[in-house]
Parts: sequence; structure tokens; C-alpha cells
Amino acid sequence: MLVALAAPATAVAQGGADPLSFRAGRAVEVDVDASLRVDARDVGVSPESAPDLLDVSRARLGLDVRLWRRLDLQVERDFRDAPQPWRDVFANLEIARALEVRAGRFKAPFSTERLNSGLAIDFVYRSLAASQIAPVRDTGVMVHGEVLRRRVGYQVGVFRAGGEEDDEPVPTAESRVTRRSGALVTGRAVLTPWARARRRALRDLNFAAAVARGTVPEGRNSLDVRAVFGDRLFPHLEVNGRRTRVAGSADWRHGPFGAAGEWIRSTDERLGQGTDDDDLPPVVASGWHAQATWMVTGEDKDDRVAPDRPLLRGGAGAIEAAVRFEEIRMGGPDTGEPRSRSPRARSVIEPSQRVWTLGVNWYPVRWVKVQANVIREDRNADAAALTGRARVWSRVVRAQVGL
Amino acid sequence: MTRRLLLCLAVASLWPIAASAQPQPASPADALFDDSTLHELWVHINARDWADLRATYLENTWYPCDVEWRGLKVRNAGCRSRGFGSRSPVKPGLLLQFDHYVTGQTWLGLRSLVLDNLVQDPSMMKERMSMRLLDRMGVPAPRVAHARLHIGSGRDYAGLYTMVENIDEPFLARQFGTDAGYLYEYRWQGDYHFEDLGADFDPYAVRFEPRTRRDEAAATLYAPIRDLVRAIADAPAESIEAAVAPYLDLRAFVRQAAVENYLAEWDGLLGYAGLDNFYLYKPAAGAPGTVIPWDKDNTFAWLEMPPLHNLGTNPLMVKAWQVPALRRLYVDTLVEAAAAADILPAEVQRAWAQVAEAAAADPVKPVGTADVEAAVQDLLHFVNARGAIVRRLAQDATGTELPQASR
Repeated sequence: MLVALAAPATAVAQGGADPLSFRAGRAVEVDVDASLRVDARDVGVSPESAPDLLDVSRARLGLDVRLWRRLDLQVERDFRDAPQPWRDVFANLEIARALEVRAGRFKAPFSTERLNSGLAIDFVYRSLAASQIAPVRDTGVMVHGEVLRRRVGYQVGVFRAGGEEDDEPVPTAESRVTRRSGALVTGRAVLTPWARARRRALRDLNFAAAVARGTVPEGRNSLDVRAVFGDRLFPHLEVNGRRTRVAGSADWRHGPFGAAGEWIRSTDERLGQGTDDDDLPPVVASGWHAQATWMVTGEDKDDRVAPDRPLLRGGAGAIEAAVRFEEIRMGGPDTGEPRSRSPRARSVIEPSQRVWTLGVNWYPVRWVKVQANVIREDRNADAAALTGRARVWSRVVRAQVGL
Repeated sequence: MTRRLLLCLAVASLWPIAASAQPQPASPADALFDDSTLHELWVHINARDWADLRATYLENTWYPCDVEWRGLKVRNAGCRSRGFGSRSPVKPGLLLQFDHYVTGQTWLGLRSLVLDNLVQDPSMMKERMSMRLLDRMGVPAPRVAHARLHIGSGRDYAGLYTMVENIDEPFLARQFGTDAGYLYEYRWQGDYHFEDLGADFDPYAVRFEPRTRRDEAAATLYAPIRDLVRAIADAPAESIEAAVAPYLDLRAFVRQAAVENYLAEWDGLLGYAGLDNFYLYKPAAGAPGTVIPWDKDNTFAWLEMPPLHNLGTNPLMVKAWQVPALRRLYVDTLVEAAAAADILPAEVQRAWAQVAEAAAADPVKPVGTADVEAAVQDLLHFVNARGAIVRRLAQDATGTELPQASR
């Protein structure tokens, strides 16, 4: 399969630039984006949670039209997702470098990990915090830009329904849960303090902070947090009121090395949700991850790694080693009562999970990426009681082509 | 109203006798089931959950609630609609489970509590009186006490209920000294009387639902039931007691059947549609099981019900009746029940004096207060007259051939 994927990609890679890009002077630039992704899994959980051993997890075709280098029109469709096939569908107008306006359907500016393209992430799956706590993609309007000589970037957006729709679920029977909520307001700032420093090692160090606030409708609508392969990790709790999320992240790249980390916290109010119709303490979901990568074959770390010696051109491609540690947990204030999984408990249980992911990424050519991950999930007693497993080992292999 | 006053006066004269017969409470749960008082039970449940529970009363959806009695409050209990024919969107029967959301949590030593909505019994007292007599006859019966139920943050009066001790581990420990055995709840699946259903476990599994040790192998759970039924089918009458001895305490079964027939129960062990409304408990693998009565709001149905009613429809009772000692046991139990039931007239009057006001104020009872009072009068008439009728009919019963189909 890999050879089949690699062959055409290699052929088109001979030209160097994007194979499906067209230019008409400076007035019109057209890029066609196509991507296909296939996963093979050996999961140490029940077949109901992760039923497929071989799965096409992405089959997208997109069009990006840029006019006069000011107006950018993007549309992307995933052909394996019948209920919601559309991904990015937006127009972006660059008034100035410091002021751009985007409208349509796109990712809410919040989690750095979540904003990365699925083709560019260093592991098969995004971190749990980014995939489970952060808002995702929705219809909205965003103002964004870069100021202070590109040292500071900003994004402020308003979205229709809270950015709760999970368009990149782990392929399980239960994970496609639409968690609609009220309008979401989100803001994000990215600081690159040494963008113009002489020392190269500091130039690509950046920090980001984000906040998002929306409302969550009354009901058992607390965050539907799942483990890596879809086991429900947190109980569904009765919530009502505001959902406030904050995030902080850091990212650094230098030569073949990369490191990143992110922390996300979400707080749901529970107004009038007590058994006496009284207010309950908020419920908090939080998570963080830290990761490191190393291009063993020496290439510079980039979102799209271009191997120095591609396969079938005298080399074997590029090899990258990666490791990630992460934790996700739910909880609330200790009210002195025994903690309970009741959806209206004042003191809720505190399920948590820690995950180690060891990975190897192979880039045979620029357009092809093969990832192999070994994942170990360790759950505390509350999470183990909910999922029925305290420790899960799994192995995943992903092959993807992105043009 | 006049009738109610007369009843109250009658009760007042009997009160010292009845009260002196009550054992002193020895534990919090004893106090909860102390039937010398009308209890006040408060179920704290979110208004939206209560509305949902009533709207979906046919489902077993759990809702969180807190339960309060005499200032003792348990938080994070589970609450759901319950019942079979008694399910109601207006006055839901409730199952409270204290460990539903908190593993191992108990309240007053109880894991759960049943709130019987009394919608199938206009007198609102049959469950309590039936279990009183069964307990007095040595049958392992759950305890029952009346309570005003209050619901929600406003403590709204939601009607007169009976609190019924659920058949679960604390009940087993109290009655049998161990809760480590195999408890089955009989699930009515149609007209069935212990006929052989074949070698497969499935027909038994749907009828005998494990309530403890649910995770054990099917053979461990259901082979004793299947083998009991086969023994009933295969054993000759003269050896029936020995044949079923590994699986069932036949003498306890015979005694309970007799008491139920004394009570004119038409939906019990010898019910109109076969077996119904009982649990079976085997204290250990290989030990004989004991039947436990449940849901006795269809008793006191028919004053003249023959004391051998429906014995001929049940293969086990047919064979037992052919054994002189078991036949004697059945008839003696009837006579013993008639004597033990002497307390019932006073009990009915005492209970009515206790609950009459709450019953009248019950905003969701399915019948009017006059109908309740009339039903209490009928009940009183039954408990006054039934003993003599059964004694008379039982005199010649030992020489009687069983009627084959008196349903």
C-alpha cells in the first residue's frame, strides 16, 4: 500500500513545488489540496470501542483561491463524512498585515495543537486536551493579524454554536457526539519575543494564550471526554450556564529538534442543577501535554518535512522520533461530601488519565508520511471504574498522502 | 366522615394493645420501618428530573436525588420509576438506590428502598397487612411502613406511599444471616408453573433474573433452576420432597402458598396466570432455595376464595398434595394463619387511623377518598370474616382431591 501511495507522489514531487498549484501572475493563485489517510490499529480495548482495524480516516479535496494576494477563498470537503462533509469554507480578506478578516466555517482560534493541520501533527492522534476540551470548527467571523514586527499575533472570533462539533473523531461507534452550545467568543494571542533575534535557537520559540467563552445548554452536556480510542472517560454531568476555556502553549523548533507543550482548562457552570434546583459548584476539565521530536536523519523540523534524500531518489526518506506525555482530568471543588458520579453531585468524581506516546515518523517523500505510535494509557481509579480498564496498550500505524 | 370517626374511635380503644406488641427499634432501618407512626419522607429531586421521570414513567431511567427522613439525609442516591402494572405518570412508584452513584453507599443500613405508589389498592393497606401476616407466620417477608412522600425543593406533598424493604443484600443478611448467596427475582413471562422448559438455560434466565452474583457463569446461575424444574417433572410424588431438596425448601414453599391463599392472593405463587411476585434465595451454591414474597397489593381479593385455590395448576403443589405430611403441613398452615390473622382487624384499624388524613389529602391517588374509605371497610370485613371461612373449609381439606383448574 505504501508503495502505491508513494509512487505517484514521488512522481509529482520531482518538480519541487506544490504539484497542484496554478499561478496567473500576481492576480490569481490556485492551489488544489488533496489528502488521503489510512489507519491500522491494534487496540487493547473492547471491539465496541474501536471496531475497525483498518480505517480510511481522511479523504479530502480542497480548493484555495487567492486573488491579488489579498482575498483568500478556501473550500474543503471530506468525502468519508456524509453527515458533515464540509471542513474549511471561508473567505479571508487581508486589509493589512495587522488586520485581516475571515468569515465562514473554520477552526476557532484557541488551541495551538488543534489549529495545526491534521497532516502536520507529530503523532497519529492529537493530544487529548486539544481533541476533547478545545473548541473545534464552526461558522463564525474572526479578526486577526500580526503586529509589533510580527512579534505578536492575535485572533479574535465569534462563532455561531460554540465550536463544539467534532469533525475529527477517533473512529468509534460513540464518539460522534455533537455538543452544541451557545455562541462562542474566543481570543488568542501568539508571542514570538525573539523573532528577530540573532541566535537562531530562539527565533522559533513562541508562546500562545487563549480564552474562549460560550454558554452551555441545560442538560447532561458537560464535555464528552473520551480516552484515546473512545472509551468515555468522564461522566455526563448536568450543566447550565457559561463554559469558559483558557489555554496556554509553547512551541520551539531549532534545526532537527522540536518541543511543544499546551495546557487547556474548561469550566462549566451548573446553575440550578442541584437536587433542590440550587446552583452546584462548576465542573472543571483540564489537560496538558509535553512533546519532543528529533529528525534523526538531520532535516530541519517543519510542518511539512522535506527529506534530504527521498525514497527512490537515492535515499530512504526522512526519519523522525517523537515522544509525548499528556494528562487529562475532570474534577470540581471539594465540598466535604463523598465524591460521586451522580450527574448532580456537589463533589464530582475525579477521573484522570495519563498517556505516553512513542512514535516514529517516516517521510519517504515530501508528500507522504507514515507514522507508527505505541500508546500507553494509565487511568486512575475513577476513570478505570468508568471504562472498566486501568491500563490500555495500543499500536497504531497511519499512512497519509497530502498534496 | 362518620365512618372515619367511628374507625378512629375503634382504633383508639385498640391502640395500647397494638402498640405494646411492637418490638422496640434496634437500628435506624428498624425505625424507618416502624409502623407505629406515619413517616415523612422527602425525596429531593431536581424539578426537571421529576418532570422527566413522570413523562418517561415506563422507562427505568435513573435520576439523581437526595433522600431525607427525620433529618437524616443521604446525597447522590439514584431514583427511578418502578413497577409493572402499577406504573403511573401521575403517581410514580419509585425505587431509591443509595449506591447507584456512590459505590458501597448505604443509608440506615439499606442499599435501596421501594416506594409503593398504592395505585392498585384502593384501601392503600393491603401490602402492609399482607407482609405483616407473612412475617408473623415466619415467612421471610420485607418490612412495610406508610409514609407521606414529599418531592422537590418545595417539599410538595406527593401522596401516600408505603416504604417497602427491598429484597437485596441487607434484607438477605437480616433474614438469612448471609447475603453471599444467589438471589433471583422472578420475572413473569406468561402462564408458567414450573413446567419443564428444556435443557437450555435461556428460558430460565428470562424468568429468574439474578440480583446477586450476576457475573457468574450461566451454568452456575441457572442449572439449579433447570434441575429443580426437572426434578418436579420427573420425581414421583412420594419422593418429591427429597428430589427437590437440593434446590428448594419445599416446606417453606408450601407454607408460603398456604398463607398466600389465606390472604386470597390471586397473583402470587398460585396466581391466576401462574407463578408471580416472588424472589428465590439460595444462601450458597448447592443449598436449597427459599421463596420470598413480593408485591402483595392484590391480596384480600375474594373473601370466599377456596383455601386450595389453584393448587391443581401447579405441578409442584399437585405432587406435594399427594404426600400426606405435606398436605397436613398446608392445611395446618392455613389454620395457623387464621389464628395469626386475628391481629389483622386491629392492625387495619390502627393503620387507617394513622393514614386516613394523609390518604384524604393525597392529591394524586387514583380514586376518591370515599372509595378509599369503602375499600378500607371491605378490607376490614375481609380480615374479620376470612378466618372462620378458612377454618371451615380447611376442616375437610385434607381429604379433598385437588381441583385441576380453579383459576
